[in-house]
Amino acid sequence: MVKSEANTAVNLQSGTDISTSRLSYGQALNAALRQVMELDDSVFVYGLGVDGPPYLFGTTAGLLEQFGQKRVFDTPVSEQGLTAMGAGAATSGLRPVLVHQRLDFMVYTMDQLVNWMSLWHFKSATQSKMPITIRAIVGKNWGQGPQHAKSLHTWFAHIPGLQVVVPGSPAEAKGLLISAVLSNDPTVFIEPRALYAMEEEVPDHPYYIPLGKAGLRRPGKDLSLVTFGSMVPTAIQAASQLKKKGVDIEIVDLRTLMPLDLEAVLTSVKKTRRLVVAEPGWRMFGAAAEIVATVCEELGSKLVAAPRRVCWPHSHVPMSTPLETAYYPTAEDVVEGCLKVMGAGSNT
Amino acid sequence: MERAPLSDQETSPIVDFVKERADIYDLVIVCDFGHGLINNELNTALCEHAPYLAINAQSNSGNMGFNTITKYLRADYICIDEPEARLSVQDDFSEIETVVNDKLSREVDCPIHFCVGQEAAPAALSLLFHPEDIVMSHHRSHGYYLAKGAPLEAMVAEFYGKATGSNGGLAGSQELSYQPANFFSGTILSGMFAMATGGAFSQVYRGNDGLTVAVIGDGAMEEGIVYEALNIAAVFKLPVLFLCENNLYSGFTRIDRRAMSETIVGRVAPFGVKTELIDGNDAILLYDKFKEITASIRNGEGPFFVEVLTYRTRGHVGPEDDDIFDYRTPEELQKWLDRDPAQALRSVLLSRGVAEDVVTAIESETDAAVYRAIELAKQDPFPVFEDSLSYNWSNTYAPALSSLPEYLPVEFDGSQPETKLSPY
Repeated sequence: MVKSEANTAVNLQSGTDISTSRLSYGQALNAALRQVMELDDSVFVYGLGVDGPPYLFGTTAGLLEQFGQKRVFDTPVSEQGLTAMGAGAATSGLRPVLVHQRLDFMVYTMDQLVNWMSLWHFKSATQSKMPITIRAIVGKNWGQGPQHAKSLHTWFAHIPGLQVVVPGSPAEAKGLLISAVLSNDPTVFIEPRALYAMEEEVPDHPYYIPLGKAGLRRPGKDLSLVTFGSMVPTAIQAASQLKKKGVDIEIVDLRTLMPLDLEAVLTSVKKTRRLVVAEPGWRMFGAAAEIVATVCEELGSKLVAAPRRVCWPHSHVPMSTPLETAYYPTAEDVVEGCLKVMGAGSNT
Repeated sequence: MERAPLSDQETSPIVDFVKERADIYDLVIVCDFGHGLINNELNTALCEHAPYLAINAQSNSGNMGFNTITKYLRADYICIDEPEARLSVQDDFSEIETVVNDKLSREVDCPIHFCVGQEAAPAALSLLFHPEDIVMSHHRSHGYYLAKGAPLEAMVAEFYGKATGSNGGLAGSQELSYQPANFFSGTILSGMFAMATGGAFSQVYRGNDGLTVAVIGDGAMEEGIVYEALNIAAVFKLPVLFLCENNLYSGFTRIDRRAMSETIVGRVAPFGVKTELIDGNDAILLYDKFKEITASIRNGEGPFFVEVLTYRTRGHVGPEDDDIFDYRTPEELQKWLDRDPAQALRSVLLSRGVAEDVVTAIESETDAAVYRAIELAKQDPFPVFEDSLSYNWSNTYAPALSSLPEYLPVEFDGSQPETKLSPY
């Protein structure tokens, strides 16, 4: 477990007596929005479809009834205008939460994100804040095809001034969304749609997860598997399979690509001396490349095997079901990657 | 030869003489041999009052190189030799072209979009602003920055890239902002119309009677986000004054090469936004119109779009002028110079019986404030590079976060099937 410095840290495994509910990823997001709106009356939620059925896959259900139209409202189909509106509201003291049904639609808004919002705090010499959260859902399964299933997390992580959060399970989705909304920096909050129905016990009361602090999903001694987002369950499955083969891997869930918890990665790799990075995104110029490069720079001579990446092919997402199935890396692909690194180690 | 600064008693008659007489002449030539005659006060008087200022500032054995051209706040013409140029910028070895073009003339080293010729609209609005009002401006923004009550000294220091600048020297003229006065600029132009919808939304959300003024130029009206913003403001009935300064040029490209009409106002009305086309160089007319329009916006009657017809009489982006590029006719420029809004307002004031002394005093005070700001900015420190590296993220949170417990992860059942999507 990652040790927390906070006295009030909640740890379900420690047997702390707190009430929890079994929530899906989507329901956890809904709980986070409701609680953060209760905590801070400057939070408002807007975007296409947020105030009516089916409530963006349930994530905004009940908000209109509780908080009214002032704080929860539907909008014209104007991604750029709405992002800019959020920027204007954020620099004027509000905390907008904008929702995009697909991350791909955010490409319209790169001018706002890259040319204004990311540098707003910097170029004001810290006078102005930009506390906006942009929720973006990444499609997968059901033939989303090449245009509606991209995860451009590395684009956003490349820009100084933006935060990029990609939760990998329900309880984390809740805590990270509360942190993102209460953060004074602009945050792209990426939600893999494939995780939406997955469930876990989620504390009922509001809590936060620090941005920029990786989570240890599984302790292990043989190899560090660094991952995030939709590949967290895949990594956990791979760990079970590897355990049967006598390989004990450690899973580091980055949670946030920016800020990036390099310390957690380096601490883990120092112990295991082997690294695989599983990234739910294109292979070239990606987050995995950044992690591997940093580990090589800092610990290269201490590694017993060359690191490997398990990523999407450097190709667009195909629509046809058999091709789509073949496209995404599976637990078996992660196992194979890990075994290659283990094998390479035993040969040296 | 005596080499000592002038006493106050000696200074004042010379300064008075310059103030009284320099304006009368077309040309003032300063021969400064560096023995103490041209002190700060006389420097300021010359720079404020000489219509065309030509300066020869000598560095020689008598003043031991202490007298350099860089002490002057402005000059229209300078005459110095090569060693004097090198001394001024402390560079003995670079090519002389580098010394003159890149170093000597680059004290202000950022793009500056002067609003000379376009001052009337911000001046008129300055009398109508409330503190809670927000201004979101394009980068020809100096007039609006000052109109919103942001400090002149901080603006000039920003031009010089100094730590005391409105943006700590990190943004420059084209991205000025000043949060305490709710003044912002720095989207790529058309974006300010859209960002203003958020400022206005915050005013409705807070329930105050503030309004947001968004300013862009005619060129920016050709970008799509403008029409998203007009629609959003109309649908949500937001308190925005959309202001388009039509100065006929986007850079060097005239409006008749970019659009089918030389005016813009007709494009806006179909969005359900009230519109008005106003002479942008008539400060008094603008004040009367803006008074009515801002009252209606504050009254909750929804957004308003105003197109002001105006002209920039300096270059697109300076400090230098750009008429050598021959993109506009001298006749067109002269026509608008004859309609200079500041001069026009002066004439109106005099014709309405305001004493010339009073007008001149206002002009002198304004000039003096500008030169004082330049003098201060030159002395201010540059920002610290290492500090700037930490400015990208605030790494701060709303107070509510501190009341929450932190969550530590538990083992997650990763064997659950992925969600199979459906339309809803």
